[in-house]
Amino acid sequence: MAVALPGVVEELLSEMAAAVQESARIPDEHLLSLKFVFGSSAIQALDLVDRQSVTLMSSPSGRHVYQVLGSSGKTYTCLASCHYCSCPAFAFSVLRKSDSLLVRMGKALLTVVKSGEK
Amino acid sequence: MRLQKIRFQYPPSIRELFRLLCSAHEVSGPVPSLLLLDGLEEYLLEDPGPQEAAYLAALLLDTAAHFSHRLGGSGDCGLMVALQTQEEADSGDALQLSLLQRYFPAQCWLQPSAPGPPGRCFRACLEQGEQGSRAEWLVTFQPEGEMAITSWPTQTGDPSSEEGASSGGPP
Repeated sequence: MAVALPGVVEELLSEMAAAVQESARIPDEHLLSLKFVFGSSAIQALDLVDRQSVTLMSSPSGRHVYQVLGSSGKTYTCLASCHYCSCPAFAFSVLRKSDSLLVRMGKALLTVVKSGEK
Repeated sequence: MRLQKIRFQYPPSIRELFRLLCSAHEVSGPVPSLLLLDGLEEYLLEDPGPQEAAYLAALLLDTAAHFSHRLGGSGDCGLMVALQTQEEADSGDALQLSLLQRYFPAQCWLQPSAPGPPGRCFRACLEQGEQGSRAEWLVTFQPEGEMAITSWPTQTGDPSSEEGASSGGPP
């Protein structure tokens, strides 16, 4: 499971990104799959997208970073290419647990946000 | 690799290291093919919390990923981080090490081995993550500084070999 799941997630996210580019919407079956894999975290991530709380910041050199406006009004930084967010939820829900999959989930959710921005 | 092609930098604090990594994409010149951070333990001595330690690990990976992207089809930018751990780590150190291992799953451990005259010997163990392969070598430094690497003389069912794999002792 720990080995297979990231591959499944990557494929699901790729399909979602392709669907968004094609029809500017995410099919319901993909959203259900996300909810199945990530539970309530997927809903929270998509809610951030709906509220336009995610900003992609790009430097002229091509380096990217995401800035997320939390519900408390504070802004947090998510690194684009790997598993880190400066929000308290990441510190409590991911760093304090030893399940490495949760770190990958952070990346996956970030990619969901990214696909939703397009 | 020619020495002139290596760019040495000495950030004196973890704050300066953050600044260097965050602005690495603005530096002009050729895109590096390898980032090597030596002495991570010096920065961890400043006692950053788990989130700051995770930020440092993630920022190193992010910087290398950015350079890989800029290199395009001509290769990836590698990342190597060297860390010296204590033999008797307290719970805080163990937590920090566990956190770093999640970000850097491929690890090469160096353990001092029984000194075989003349010179110093280390047992080197390369682990490619939890599910990956594992290889071991004996690294010997002669008194005049010459280094020799030979395969570790393991045997099938060698109990000491298995113990080293599970405990992941200090380098």
